[in-house]
Amino acid sequence: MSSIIPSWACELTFPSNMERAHSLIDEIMSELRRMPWSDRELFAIQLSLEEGLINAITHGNKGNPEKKVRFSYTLSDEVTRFRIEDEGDGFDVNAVPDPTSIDNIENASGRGVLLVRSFMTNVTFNETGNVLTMEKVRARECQDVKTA
Amino acid sequence: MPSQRIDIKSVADITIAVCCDMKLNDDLVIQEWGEQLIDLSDDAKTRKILINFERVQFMSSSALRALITLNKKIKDDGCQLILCGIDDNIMEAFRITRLDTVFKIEKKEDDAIRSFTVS
Repeated sequence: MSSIIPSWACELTFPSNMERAHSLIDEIMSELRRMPWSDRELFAIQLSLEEGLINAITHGNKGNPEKKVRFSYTLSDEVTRFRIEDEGDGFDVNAVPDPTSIDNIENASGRGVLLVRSFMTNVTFNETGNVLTMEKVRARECQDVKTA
Repeated sequence: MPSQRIDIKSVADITIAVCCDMKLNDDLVIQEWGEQLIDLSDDAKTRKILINFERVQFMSSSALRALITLNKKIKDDGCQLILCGIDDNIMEAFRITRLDTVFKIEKKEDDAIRSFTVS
């Protein structure tokens, strides 16, 4: 992961509640829109946050409001970084069936992890599978377009 | 009382459902949206359904899941489903998940109307 000087950083713990998660995502996106991220990159970050937090709240903590999500992030013009930790049992990220295979393509689930891995620059899960760390680095060509 | 999640119109024998919400990511919104689309497909007169996403700017994998459920039902019923007006960023999510190979997708509503099979 690259080193950055964050222009915005936060760490908080909140109960398993998607409404709270959505209001946090809205706050983060509104801050990022002030920075020179492209629309495409903003979409990628928003979708990854949505999928990461759904995974922690719905699958990790099984929607139990007694269980908490620990969420921290740093935002800057060049790199955004997020860490999402739930209190669930975790999962084996390597055992998630490939949702794009012919056998699974019409299955209802399994797309969240794939979307996060595709849309973000660096994505890691801890060994237990209850901590997701993801980072988006702003693309050079986008920076060039913005400054042209 | 659920909110209206789709506007419905008809062109010839095609039923067009225009999604009303800009974001399809909230559980309740997705549930109501999915149920209203299923209700539409339950209508015996509806054999060709076009879902227009031109107002939608964001959707999560939960909305994709609801769409897959609908697609299975429509296929089982022997009906046709086409999607149109999908934002470029959302289209990227369809490509990554290869759902662009599962659904028939057209860029514009007019093109979609023309591409239904005559029955």
